[in-house]
Amino acid sequence: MTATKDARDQVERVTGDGFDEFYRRHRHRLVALAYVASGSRLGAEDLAHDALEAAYRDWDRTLDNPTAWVQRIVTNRAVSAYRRRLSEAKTLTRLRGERHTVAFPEVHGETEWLWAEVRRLPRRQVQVVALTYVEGLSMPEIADVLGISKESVNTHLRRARETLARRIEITNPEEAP
Amino acid sequence: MIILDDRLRTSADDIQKAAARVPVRAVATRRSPVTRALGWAVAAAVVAALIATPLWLGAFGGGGNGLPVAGDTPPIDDIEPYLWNGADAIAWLADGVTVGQAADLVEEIRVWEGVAGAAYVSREIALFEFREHFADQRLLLRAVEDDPSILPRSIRLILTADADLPGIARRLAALPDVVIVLRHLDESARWMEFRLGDANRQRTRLERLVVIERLIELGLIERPDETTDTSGNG
Repeated sequence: MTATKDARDQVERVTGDGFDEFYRRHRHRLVALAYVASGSRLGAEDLAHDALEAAYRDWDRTLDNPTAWVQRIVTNRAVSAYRRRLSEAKTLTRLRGERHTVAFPEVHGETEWLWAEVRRLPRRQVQVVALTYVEGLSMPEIADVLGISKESVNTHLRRARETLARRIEITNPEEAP
Repeated sequence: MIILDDRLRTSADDIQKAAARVPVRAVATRRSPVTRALGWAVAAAVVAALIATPLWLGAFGGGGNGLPVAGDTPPIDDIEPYLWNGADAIAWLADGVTVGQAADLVEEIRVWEGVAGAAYVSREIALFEFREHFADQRLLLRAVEDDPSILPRSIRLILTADADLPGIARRLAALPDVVIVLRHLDESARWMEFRLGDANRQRTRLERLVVIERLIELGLIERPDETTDTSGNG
C-alpha cells in the first residue's frame, strides 16, 4: 500500500498536475485530522484548507511527498494554540455575510468525549494517535510524516494507549455506577 | 486495549463522516506575478532582517558563544511536553551560560512554588521545533538554518494551575543568567527569538520581525482575488 501511495505521489510531483484529485482524496480526511487534534469545530476546516493551499502553491516544484507534507502541516498546526486561534478568527471573519457555516458538524457525545481525552495527552501523542486512527497510517508512515523514528512513534503510541485506557476506565461517564 | 482500539476506530469513522459534510470552498490559485513579486519582497525583507539583526546587536562573530557544544541536547522525548506551545513561560539564557549552569538553573527552578516542571532547550531542539513549525515557509526556514545561532537556548517552564505567573516571571527575570522572559503568549513572538544586545533595542527588533513574519503569513494565506473552485461547480 505504501509503495502504491508513494508511486502515486511521485507521479503527482513529477507531472505537477493532479491537485484536484489530491484535494478530493485528502481534503475531508485532513479536516477530520485537524478536528481531532485541535478540538476546534470552527478552526478545523481552515487548518486543513491552509495546508492544502500551501501544497498547491508548491505543487509543481519540490514537494516530494505531498500527502505526508500536508498531514504534517495539519497535525503540527492543529496542536498549536496560536494557529488554532488564527484559524478560528479567520473563519469567524469569513462567516460574516455567509449563509452557511464551514464549522465542523457536531458528533456523537461518546466520540466527542473520547477525543477530548486524547487531546489531554502530550502533543506528540495526540499527533500519533490522530494519524493512526483517523488517517489509518502505519508506524513507518507516521514516522515519515512527523520526521521522527519508528521507535519513537511506537513509544508515543504505547504511552498514549496506556494513559487512555487508564483514564477511560476511571472517567468514562457511561461506565460510572 | 482491544476495546480502546475499537472505540477509537469507530469514533474516527464518525468523525470522517462528519468531516465529509463540511462544505468545500475555493482554493486560491498560484499568485499573480505582482503578488508573487510582493511576496518575494516581503520574504527578502525578513531574510535581510534575520541576517542583519545579529550585526545590529553585535552579538555574533566568534568567541565561545556560538553553536552549542557536544552533549548540549537532551533526548527530544524528555522535553517534548515543553515544545509546541507547551510551556507556560520561557527564559532565554545569556550567551555565556554553560550547559552545566543551565542544568543547575533547571534544578533550582523546578522546586519553585507553582512550577510543575522545567527543562533546558538547546539550539538544536529550538531549530528542530522551528523547522516543524515553519515547514511551509522556506525562506524563513532557510535563513534560520543558515545561522541557527539566532535561536536562543532557553529554560521552559510548565506551571501548576494555581501558579502566580507574573511572580514567577519576575523571579526568572531576576536571575543573572536569564536575559528575557516570555510568558505564555502570542506564539509567533516566541518564534522570533533573538539574542539581546540591550533589552529595549531587542524588543524593537523583535516586534518588527514579528510584524514582518505576520505579513508573510497573511500574504500567503489571503489572496481573495484569485480563486479556483475545487467543488466541481465550475
